[in-house]
Amino acid sequence: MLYLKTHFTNILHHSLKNVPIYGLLLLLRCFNTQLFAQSYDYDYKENAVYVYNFIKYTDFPSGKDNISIGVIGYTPFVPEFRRLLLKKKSSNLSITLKYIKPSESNTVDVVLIAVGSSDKLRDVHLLTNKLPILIITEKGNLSRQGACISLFIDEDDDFKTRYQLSIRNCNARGLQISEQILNNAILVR
Amino acid sequence: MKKIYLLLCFLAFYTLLLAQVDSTARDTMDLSDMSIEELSKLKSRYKTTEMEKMVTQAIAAASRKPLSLKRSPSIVSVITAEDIEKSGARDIIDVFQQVPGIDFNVDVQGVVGISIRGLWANEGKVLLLLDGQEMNETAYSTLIFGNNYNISQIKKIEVIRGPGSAIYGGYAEYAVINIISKSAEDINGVEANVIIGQTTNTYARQNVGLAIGKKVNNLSFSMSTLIGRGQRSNSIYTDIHGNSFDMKNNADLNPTNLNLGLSYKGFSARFIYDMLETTTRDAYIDAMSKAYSTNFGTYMAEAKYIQKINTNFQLQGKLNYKRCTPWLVTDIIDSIDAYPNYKIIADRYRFNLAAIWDAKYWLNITSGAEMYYDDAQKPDIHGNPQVFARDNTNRVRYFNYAAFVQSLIKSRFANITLGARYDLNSATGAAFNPRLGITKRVGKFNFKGLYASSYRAPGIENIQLSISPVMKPERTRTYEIETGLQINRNSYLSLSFYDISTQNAIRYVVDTTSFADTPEGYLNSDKVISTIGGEMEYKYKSSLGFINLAYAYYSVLDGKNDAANEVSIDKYANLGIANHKLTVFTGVNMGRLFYIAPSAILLDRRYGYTSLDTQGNPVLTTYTPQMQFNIYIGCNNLVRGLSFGMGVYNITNEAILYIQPYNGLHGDYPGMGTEIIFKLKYNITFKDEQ
Repeated sequence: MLYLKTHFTNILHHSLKNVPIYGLLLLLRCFNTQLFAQSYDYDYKENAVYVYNFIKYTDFPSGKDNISIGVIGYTPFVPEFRRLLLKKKSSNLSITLKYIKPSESNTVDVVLIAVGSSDKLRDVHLLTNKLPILIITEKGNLSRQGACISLFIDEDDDFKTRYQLSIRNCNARGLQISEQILNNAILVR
Repeated sequence: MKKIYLLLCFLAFYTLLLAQVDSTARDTMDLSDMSIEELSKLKSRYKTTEMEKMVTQAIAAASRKPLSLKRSPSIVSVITAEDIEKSGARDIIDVFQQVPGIDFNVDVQGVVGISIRGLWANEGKVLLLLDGQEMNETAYSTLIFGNNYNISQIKKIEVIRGPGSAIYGGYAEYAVINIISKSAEDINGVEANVIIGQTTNTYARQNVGLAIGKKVNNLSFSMSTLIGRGQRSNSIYTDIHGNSFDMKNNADLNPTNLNLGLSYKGFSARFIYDMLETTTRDAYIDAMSKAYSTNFGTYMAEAKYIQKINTNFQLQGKLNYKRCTPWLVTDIIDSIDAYPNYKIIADRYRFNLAAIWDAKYWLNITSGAEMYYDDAQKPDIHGNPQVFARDNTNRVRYFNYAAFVQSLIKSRFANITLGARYDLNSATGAAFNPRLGITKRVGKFNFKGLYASSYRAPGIENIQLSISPVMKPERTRTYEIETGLQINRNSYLSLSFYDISTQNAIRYVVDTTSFADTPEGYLNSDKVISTIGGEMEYKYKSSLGFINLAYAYYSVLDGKNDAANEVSIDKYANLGIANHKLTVFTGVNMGRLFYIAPSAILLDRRYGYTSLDTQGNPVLTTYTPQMQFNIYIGCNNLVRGLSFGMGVYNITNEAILYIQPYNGLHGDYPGMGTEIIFKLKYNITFKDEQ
C-alpha cells in the first residue's frame, strides 16, 4: 500500500513538475500554422496501387508495351511505386518511373504531379495539349483545370482516398478509360 | 541563458517531431494486388486528428440530411465527450459555457435558464433535444438548468447557434441544442460515474450515474441513469425588498433520470424519464418564509422506423409521446407566503413522416408532414379545483399540423440549402418559416451565408395567461455569416456575425397587484426586438492538450428592445446579459495519464433591477464584470477503465450571479461559491463476440 502511495505521488509530482514545459509546447503547437502544414497526409501506398490500376485500365493509342511515368516534384509516391513494381515483376505491364521537369512531360506516357508542384499543371497542360498523356495529380480538383485524374482525400467520406476524373480531358487526349476506373470515379466536367 | 537556449532547441526539435508523428504511423497491409473496386471499399487509411474528425463529422441537427460542420447550413458549435470529460465540467451549465453566445439567467422560482445572443430565450425560444426527444416542457415551453443531465453519458452536443424553425417548428426560434447520448456500441459494457462537490458550508452535489450498453448482431440496447442531489448555491439571496435567506438547503437540485434505448435494424425506440426536484424560497418577487418543493417531471417515449426503399430513397416514420408535469407545487403553503399551488399534466402526441430522396448526386430533397396534439389537464390540489385562466376549464386541447420541405443542392458555385416549414395551430394560427443557406469551401476556408425565418409557438399557459386579446406567435428573422479557417490539422477558427430581429415578442410580466389569483401574464410586445453581434470560436486539440476559446459580443440595435428588457443608462445592452463574454478552457496533458485543465469565464458588466428606492420604484444596479476561474486535474486509465479527477471551481470565490433578464423584480440569484469536486468513472467493457 505504501509502495502504491509513493509510486502514485511520484507520478503526480513528476507530471506537475513538467506543467510549464507542456504548456509552452502546447502554445507553440497552437500557433504553428504553415510551418509544417500539408493539406493532407496521403497514403502513398494506396496512391501507388491506384496509379498502377489507372495505367492498367487505360488504353493508350500507342499501345501499352512499355509505359513511362514522369513524376514532377518530390513525392513519397515514387519509392512506394517502385516497391509495388518489384512485386509486379511477373506482370505483362512494363512500367518505368523517373523524375522529370515540366518541360519534359511530352516525353512520357503518364505524368504524375506531386502536391507541392501542383502549380506546374498549367505548363504541363500547355505542353502536352491533346497528346495521349495521362495526367494525374496528387491534389484534388485539378481535373477541372486540365488533369485527367486527381487523387484526393474525401473529408465527407471518412477521409478515404478517392479520385476525380474528367472524361472530357481524357477524350481530348485520345485516352480510352475503362469501366473499372469510371465506376468508382467522381466525374467532373 | 544557456539553459534557455537549450530549452528553445528542445522545443523546436520536439515540435518538429510532433509534426511528423501522425505521418509515420503505417500499417503493413499488402494492397498491391487490389483492384480499384477493392481499394474503394477499403476503410480510410488516413490517420485523422481529433480536430479533423470534429470539423468533418456529420451534424444531425442542422439539416434534415446530416452534413459536415463546415457544410452545414447553420452556425454550429460541437462539444464532444472528451471536451466534457477533460474540462472537468460539473453539470450542463459548465458544458454550455464553452459555447459562444450562451449565457444563463434567473427566471422565477429558482429556475436558471438560457440566453442566446443577448436575448432571454428560456421560454420556448431554444429547442433542447436529448436523443431526439424534446426536453422543453409543454406548459410554458421552458427549460431548467443546474445539476441535471447525465453529462458523463453524453457522446456529443451540437449547438445550432441560430434558428431552426424550418425544421423543428415553434421552439427553435433562436437556437437548437441537440444532446446525443452514448450509444450501445459506445458503452459496450457497464459504466459507473460519481461526482461529489463540496463547498465551505454544505454539499454542492452528490450524483451517481450508471450506464449499460450492448450490441448483439442487429440488436442494440442501452440504458443510462442519473440520481443525485445538489444545491444551487451556498450564498445569501436577497430579494428586491431587502429580505434575505441563506440558499443552503433552500435551493435544492435533485435529479433523477432514466434513458432507455433500443434498436433493431430500421426500428428504434426510446424512453426517457426525467425529474428535477427543486426547492425554492425566492418565488417571484418576495422571498418566502421557507422553501417549498417545485418539481419538473417529464416522461417521453418514441418509436421510429426507417425504411430504405432503395439506395436513393428512404422513408422515416416517428411516433412520440411526452407527458410533462412542470412547475409542480403541491406543498401546503403557509398563509404568509404568496406562492400558489400549481399542477398541470400536459400530454403531447406527435406523428412525423418524412421522405428523403437523393434525386441526383447534386440534389437531395426531404419532405414530410407532422402533426401533434396537446392535451393538458389541471387536477385538483388538496381538494381545491384548478382551471386554465382563459377558458375557465380544467382541460384544454390544441392541434398543430405542419408540412416541411428541404432541398440540398451541390453546385460548382456553392452548396445551397433551401427549406421551409408551414405550421397551422388551432389556437395561434399559421406560421410559415423559410430558410436559405449558402456554404462554400475555398481551400482551408469555408464560408456560410444564412437567412432564416423562425417563430415561437406560444405554449399552453402562454395562451391561457394571455393579457393580449389574441396571443400571436412571435416571429423572428435572422441573418448570419460565418467564416471558418482550418489553421492546421489540429486547430480550427470560426468567426460569425448575426442580425436578429423579433416581432410580436411574447413578454412575460409579473405584477402581483394586477393578478389576484396568479402573479403572471403574457402579452405580445408592440416593439421590434433586435440584436446584432459577433462570435469567435477557436479550438485546438492534439496529443499535448486542448484549447477551447470562445468570445461573444452582442449589441441591441438602435435601442430596439422591449421595455421589460431595456437598460435606461445603456441602450446597447439588455438586462442581465453581458455584452461581452469570453471563455477559455484549456487542458495540458502531462504524460499519458494525467492532464491539468484550467478554465476561465469572463463576463462583462451587467445590469439588473434588484432593489427599490424609497418610492418603491425599481433601482437599476450595475454589476461589475464577473470572473470565474477553475482548475481540474484528471487521470485517465490509471487502472484499466478507471478515470478520476479533482478540481476547484470558482477558485476566487467570485460572487456568481444569475440576473433576471427582464424587469420582473426578482433579486440577483447567487450561484455556487468555491467548490471542490471529485469525479470518478469506471467502466467494464464487454468482450466482443466473434
